[in-house]
Amino acid sequence: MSDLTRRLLLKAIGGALGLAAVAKALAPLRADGEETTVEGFLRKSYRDLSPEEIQSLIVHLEEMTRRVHGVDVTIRDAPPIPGVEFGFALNLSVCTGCRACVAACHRENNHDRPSAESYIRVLEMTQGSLDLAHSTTTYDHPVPAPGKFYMPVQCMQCRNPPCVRACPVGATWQQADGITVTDYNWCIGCRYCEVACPYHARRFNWTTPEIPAAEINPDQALLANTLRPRGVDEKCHFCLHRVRDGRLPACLEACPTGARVFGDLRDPNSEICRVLAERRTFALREEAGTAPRFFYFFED
Amino acid sequence: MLPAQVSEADAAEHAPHLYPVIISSPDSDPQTLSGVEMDWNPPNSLSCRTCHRVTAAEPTPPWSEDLRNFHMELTILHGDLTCGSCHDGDDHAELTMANGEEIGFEDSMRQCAQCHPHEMQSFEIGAHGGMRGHWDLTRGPRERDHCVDCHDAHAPAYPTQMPLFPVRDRFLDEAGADE
Ligand code: HEC
Ligand code: HEC
Ligand code: HEC
Ligand code: HEC
Repeated sequence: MSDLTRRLLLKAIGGALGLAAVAKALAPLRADGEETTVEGFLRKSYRDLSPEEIQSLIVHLEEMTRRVHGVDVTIRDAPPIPGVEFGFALNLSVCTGCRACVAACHRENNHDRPSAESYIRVLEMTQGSLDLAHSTTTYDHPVPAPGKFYMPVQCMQCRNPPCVRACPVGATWQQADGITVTDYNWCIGCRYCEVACPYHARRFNWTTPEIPAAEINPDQALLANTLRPRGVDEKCHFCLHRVRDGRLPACLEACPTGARVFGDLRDPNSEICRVLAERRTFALREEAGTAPRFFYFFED
Repeated sequence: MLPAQVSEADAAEHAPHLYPVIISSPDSDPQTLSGVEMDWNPPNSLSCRTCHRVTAAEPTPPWSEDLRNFHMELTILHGDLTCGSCHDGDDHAELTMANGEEIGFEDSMRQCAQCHPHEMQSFEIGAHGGMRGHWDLTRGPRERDHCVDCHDAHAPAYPTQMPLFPVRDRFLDEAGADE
């Protein structure tokens, strides 16, 4: 989709539904600075870029990072591994709610420091209940607390993702390994995806993320943890820059209890498949029809 | 696709090379701190057999009072187990299985597994106990924690801790905790 078609499409939808005005009102923060230059690769969605244009985009983003932050980063294009479909599971009997995963995600994915942003929230819940409405994320006492259990929530990488359907410009979509990605250069910041997500998994950059240069994670991939501009939406991408390289996600490695299980849903011998076969797993808000690839279980 | 008729050697050659899963290994010769300053090497740090001779009839060494005191400081908060449930009575440098088999300290997971088969099975399917490295063993190895990295064999309850990360939750701050 070219920039012009995107604008026209928005206009057409707006004509019918009044969405454009809403989108514009909701998107006052999209920085119209350096990102909207005349260079072709910046006026196209990632999905329309040729391999050469992807390389130009990478060079551009690396240069921007050097110029703005004074940091050398290595950005890769990390497409899905053919034949692989990722899944995640979490052992609620082992998780202690320590939030090491929240902190690891914050660092790994170059999140805004002042707002302590992270793709993961940990809900403190009352034992024997799965009532999300009466959970809290701001607990601040020794964990695990008596009578409580802890439920980390992040993007479920739905088979049927409502955020993708809600996006008016196709800036977020599901890739072949099941990971739903976001094109930070294409997102218009309307936040429809955020409203559509029943897991509150999406995050909006209200400000230009601030990170001390020394803390920027230089191990980056497109559609993953490159430095985001202000005014775009984002969410957990299962650390695609790591997992498409065969590595484990940062939140899992950081977990001091080993409650997290990650792997290939199409490999019947993988740990994730064994957990799905040998434990009574469930997905969050299954009734929403989202068909998550993220599962929870208790030990009985 | 492999041809229909393949020898085992052929199949092994076609199978992808897998990197190992390395489980951290506990010390096979745990030392105990005497609590006593000694002028010989290694100061303060002693192997079990230094005092507990292989033969149970060995006379108790003269400094046993101090050590008795030290061992008594071990907190045993593990069900109603006694020392002999796990330590071999004849050779204190070995652990003992329920059937009397002696195993080294480096194999203590077998002992935990004997009494905690469900947790052991969870460990095997990756659902209990931390790991680092690769989910895809064709691309790299994986490291795993041992039971005793997280659980003190004598007082195995996992410790409580303060949560690590300050949470400032924009969504919940705005909407209130009760959505
Ligand atoms: C410097 C001497 C010393 C060292 C080293 C030492 N112990 Fe002991 N240990 C004692 C004494 C003294 C007692 C008190 C009971 C006795 O007199 O046998 C004792 C008691 C014990 C007991 C309970 C009673 C029994 O005899 O079964 C166990 C189990 C034990 N020790 C294990 C160990 C292990 C395992 C190590 C090595 C990590 C070790 N000890 C190292 C001196 C020592
Ligand atoms: C549940 C089994 C179990 C019981 C019960 C047990 N131990 Fe141990 N003990 C172990 C294991 C396993 C290790 C090795 C720990 C490691 O590798 O971290 C060990 C290590 C030790 C050590 C050396 C390291 C240290 O922690 O100081 C001493 C001394 C010791 N035990 C003494 C005792 C005594 C005395 C008792 C009884 C009062 C006892 N143990 C009861 C399993 C047990
Ligand atoms: C001889 C049997 C036996 C062996 C060996 C044994 N345990 Fe236990 N363990 C028990 C019993 C009994 C309990 C108490 C169960 C209960 O209270 O329901 C227990 C409890 C525990 C608990 C829960 C503690 C708590 O306070 O919540 C943990 C964790 C644990 N064991 C870990 C281990 C580890 C790790 C090992 C190996 C180093 C091990 N156990 C070896 C019998 C054993
Ligand atoms: C990476 C750290 C880690 C490792 C490794 C680990 N555990 Fe645990 N284990 C935990 C945590 C965390 C809990 C939950 C504690 C809680 O909720 O208070 C737990 C709980 C337990 C319990 C208590 C279950 C209950 O019903 O209360 C047992 C028993 C246990 N583990 C045994 C083992 C055994 C056996 C191994 C090795 C095969 C092992 N653990 C390896 C972290 C670990």
